[in-house]
Amino acid sequence: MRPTRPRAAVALLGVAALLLILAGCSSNRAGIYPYRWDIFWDSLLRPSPRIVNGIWLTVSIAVTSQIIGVILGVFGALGRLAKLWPARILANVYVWAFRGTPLLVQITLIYYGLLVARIYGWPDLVVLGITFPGGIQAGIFALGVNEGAYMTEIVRAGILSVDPGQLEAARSLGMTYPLAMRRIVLPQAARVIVPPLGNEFNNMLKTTSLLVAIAVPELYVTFEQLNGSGSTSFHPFELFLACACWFLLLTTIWSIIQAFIERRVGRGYSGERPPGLFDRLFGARLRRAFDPSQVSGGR
Amino acid sequence: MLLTPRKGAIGAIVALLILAACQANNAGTSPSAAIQSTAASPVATVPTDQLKFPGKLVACIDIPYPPQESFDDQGNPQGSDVDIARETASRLGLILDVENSVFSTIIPALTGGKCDIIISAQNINADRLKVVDMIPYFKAGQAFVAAKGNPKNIKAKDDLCGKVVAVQEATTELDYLQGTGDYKGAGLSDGCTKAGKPAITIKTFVKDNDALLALQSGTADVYFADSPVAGFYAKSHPDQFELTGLTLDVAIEGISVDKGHTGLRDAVKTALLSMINDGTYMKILQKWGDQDSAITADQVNSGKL
Repeated sequence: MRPTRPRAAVALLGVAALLLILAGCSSNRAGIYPYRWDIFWDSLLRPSPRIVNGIWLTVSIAVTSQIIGVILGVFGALGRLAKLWPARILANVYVWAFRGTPLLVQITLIYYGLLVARIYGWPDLVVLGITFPGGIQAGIFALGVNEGAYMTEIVRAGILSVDPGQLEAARSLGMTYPLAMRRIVLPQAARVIVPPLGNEFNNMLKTTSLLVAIAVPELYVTFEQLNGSGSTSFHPFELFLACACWFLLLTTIWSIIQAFIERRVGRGYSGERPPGLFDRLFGARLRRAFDPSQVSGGR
Repeated sequence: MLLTPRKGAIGAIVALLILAACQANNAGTSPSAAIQSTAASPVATVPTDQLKFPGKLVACIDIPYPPQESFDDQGNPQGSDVDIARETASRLGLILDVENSVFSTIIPALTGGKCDIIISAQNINADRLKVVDMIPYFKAGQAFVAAKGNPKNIKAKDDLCGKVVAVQEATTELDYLQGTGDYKGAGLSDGCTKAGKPAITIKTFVKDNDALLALQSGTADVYFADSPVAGFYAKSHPDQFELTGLTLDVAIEGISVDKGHTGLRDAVKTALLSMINDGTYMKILQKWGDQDSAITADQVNSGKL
């Protein structure tokens, strides 16, 4: 069932109503707070190089951290499911520690903690004449390792969703365990992993703002700085509304990409199509009641 | 395994993103420094092993704290601290690089090797001197900013009792409010409770401008900061803020250097004294309206007002 037009109209009406309420409030309060709507429109429609840099930094940090997270997640999941007990304990402790402590604490500990204790100085790396600042490295590392703990659980769920017979069959055909995992189990697990993975990346795009703790000038921090000094200072309403719009734009673009990826990973499976873009943006439609007769068709 | 076109493409995208990250950050934090070199030859030389990068002086600064440090509209650091640091660097034959930092972790950033000096409106106090060496360079009181019209009528210390005060973390102002550090036993809030009045509600913020935001939004009654900063905000936003007229304890601010780096410490001090003696120091402070915060060469040497 495709989304119907009335639904779109209702959603748009809702947004319009919200804007009207905001506009109404703002005119009432104009005497109290000196609104500068030009700041809002400028930072949205004519973003300064600082804002563009912030966007790039947010996107590139999020993508790099997510890639690290996925790689760690695959190894973490294999560790948790391994027969070898040291691997199991290592993976369990990793997930336990990184899922059990606040990310903000991890970021501060990984950057300043290691710096001060002289364990690792996070030196700036120079690659091809471009400096790669220590703060960004630490940020990517912290976000990636934290994400890895969550991805471990997601990948583990994906692997468990694949019928154990698949692995047995592959092994009996003479495939080694790593090969069977790579060729048989993980590709099938991907269909289950991808939707929550998309969710995680959506989160990651926004979580980069926690790097304010170590002064990495990503999108939120840029707006924080714009609010802190210069000609736009102390207009938090207009600035952070614009900042929210930028994040909304990034996550919306990601929704479109995610819908595309899910269709691709899910091809070859019968059943309902993955939700389209509209459902994703304005809430999932009601699923048809689950009909067990369609699944357990007798043996 | 063969490198398929798709894998190559993914690799290329990742590489591009990483490069973008670096460039984005470069543009954000290290502006092309316009150096007005006044000294023809360096007034002192810094041992190279006491610098993070040869030829560079990296200064940790917590921005914003205007007029001492702020960003201009292009995102370049500016202010009297930035100019003093730049002048110091140029007198030592170095180029200034600013590392924007967070005040509560700015000393760890220095001792951990992220920068060579801290010049960020830091009062000299016993706690800090345990960890770093500090060269006196500036003096400031501590002042309170209220909303326009001073609606809570704050005129004296006693008026703060029972009020909500917004303040930045890890500052001497916070020490003063809660009676820690150099203000042990002399905290403003303790003073209230001892006199049988309600305690001060202290709201702390990681960034100083967020403390002012608390005042602006009405969740705090007053904002507490160094007097030049308080004065700057009251003057630049007269429609929203005003000074309460209550100014406490004038103290000396210092440039922090790692304890092991005595060569760097002495060189910075020599450069500072030379710019005090030829008047450049005063010109910088006047440019930012900080002339009342100037200290003399004797005060730099003695560390006492």
